[in-house]
Amino acid sequence: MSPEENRDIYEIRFSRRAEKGWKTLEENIPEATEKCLHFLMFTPLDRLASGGKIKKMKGTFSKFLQYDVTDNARIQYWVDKDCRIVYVKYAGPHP
Amino acid sequence: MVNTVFSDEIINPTELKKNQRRWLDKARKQPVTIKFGDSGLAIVDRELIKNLYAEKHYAELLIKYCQETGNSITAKSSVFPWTASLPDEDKQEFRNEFFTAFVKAIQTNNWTELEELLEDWKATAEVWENPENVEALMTKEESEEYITLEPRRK
Repeated sequence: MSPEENRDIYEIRFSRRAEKGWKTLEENIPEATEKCLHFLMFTPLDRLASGGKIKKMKGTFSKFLQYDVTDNARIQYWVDKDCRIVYVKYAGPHP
Repeated sequence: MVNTVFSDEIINPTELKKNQRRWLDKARKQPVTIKFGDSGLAIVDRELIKNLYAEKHYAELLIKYCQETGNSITAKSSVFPWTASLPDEDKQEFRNEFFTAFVKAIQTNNWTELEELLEDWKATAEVWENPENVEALMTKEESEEYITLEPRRK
């Protein structure tokens, strides 16, 4: 990764619960989680760049975004744009 | 009324054949109808038809949803069955946003926002179906309780 790319990168932080879920996803679907991670690091708010994988949560959960890792797995997160931090709150199965 | 709004030019197949370029250019701006026996075939800009179909589709959904729910926000909907999982306050918000997005789409001919709105609300309703997921989002963590992910080195 070039220093220029590094400057724009988002830091990713997981809640303890989400971290457990994320590790399970990493073990089961490594390629999809890698792709998801790349998305979160560079363009976590860009709906177009997500290729239809992002949803904006509504109502009570309007603070959060959802990224569909696969048809059966998803993560939910919120973004602190000023500090360039992505906070992942949930990583796990899709009902 | 429908004929007036449509405001097409009606020609016969011979005329179309004779001045094909002219009529095709014209059809980009307004419909051109070719008389074909007792009926007519129209040449219409594709975007216009796409918008009309989208408008019809979403108008049908909206009308059916209104018929099903009426004034009761808690009534079940077969058009959007997933709304059943939403809390009442969110149901009201969905209804308001859906109506607003529909009107905006008609005015702008841009249906993407409305499509995304429905996807977003459906995804939100799915969260409400999963208690573990709801709890995860409701739990408040202090920033120091988060774990920083170290980038994997290849």
